[in-house]
Amino acid sequence: MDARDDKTQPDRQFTDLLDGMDVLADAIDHRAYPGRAWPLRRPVRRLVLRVLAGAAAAAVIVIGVVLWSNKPHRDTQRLESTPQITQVASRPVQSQPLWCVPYEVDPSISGHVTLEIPSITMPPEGEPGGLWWNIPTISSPFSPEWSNAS
Amino acid sequence: MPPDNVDISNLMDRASSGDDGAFGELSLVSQDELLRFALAHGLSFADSAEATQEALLRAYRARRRWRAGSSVMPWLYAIAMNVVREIDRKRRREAGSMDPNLLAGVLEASSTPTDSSEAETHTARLRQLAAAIQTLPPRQREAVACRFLRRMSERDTAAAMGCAEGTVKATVHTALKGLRDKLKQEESSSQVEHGRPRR
Repeated sequence: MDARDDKTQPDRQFTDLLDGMDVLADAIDHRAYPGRAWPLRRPVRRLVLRVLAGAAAAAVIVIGVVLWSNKPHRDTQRLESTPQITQVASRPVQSQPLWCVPYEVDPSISGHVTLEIPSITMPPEGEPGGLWWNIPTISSPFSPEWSNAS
Repeated sequence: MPPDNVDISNLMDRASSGDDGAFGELSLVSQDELLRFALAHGLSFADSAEATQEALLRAYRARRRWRAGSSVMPWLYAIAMNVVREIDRKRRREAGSMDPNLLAGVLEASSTPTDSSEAETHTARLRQLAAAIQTLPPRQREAVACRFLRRMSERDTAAAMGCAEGTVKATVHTALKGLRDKLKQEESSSQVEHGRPRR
């Protein structure tokens, strides 16, 4: 139903006003929405912003994890890369062969020490008897025969 | 003019049963009318475009509550009216008052420049009228915008404003009287300024 159709009697007093508003209404009728109002651009924009924010947060987390996981490795490297002055100090000790007798040791007792391995003797087959140990006599500068000989 | 109500009611029936494509078609045929509705209520073009989108979004969210066979445009107008009120309140809060030339701006956008002084006087009166409409109290402004700037029926205006048809009639009458008095007052004051005594 048009507004003009149900114009009431009092409205006729305002003809000049209504004519003016008709012109305004015509002017408004010439306006149109630019483009399409649906689907909404604003929620799409919001979605894009959320995705970007999420990606940025994920990147920060990944970088944080990578840095954190690299931290112990760096410490090891730092330990491995000891300052050169420390290496110089430790070099003579490392270069000495393990089997060397320290030269400053002057043994007052010298001689030959024979070491034999103890063995077990078993009785011949079919004969009674038990096992017995053959303990070798140790000949060393500390044994009595040495002291008697000297 | 508003789109054919029967056709878009069918589209809304389909949209309410889950057909998003139908809602897309509905928005396409109703978007211009919603934009003009917001412009008629004195919003700027940018705010009117935003109000159109917001009204369509709210309609989409409420599509499940749609009763099949109802008229779409009064329903959309009611949704758009709420959106327009919210934006209007927001702008007034920000700026203290609405720019009285916003409604007159639609004249500049559609009119062609003329040289005759009579045409200029006519345009000046229209601008005065547009500014006077924007200074009306909110309910009167809404009633005038719906009834005369969008040429809506009293029934549709009442549905959009959420009041009875009789209230619309009374509000419109009060608004027209107020407008006439205001314009007469402005006319007489301008005559005094230009040294012409009021007859």
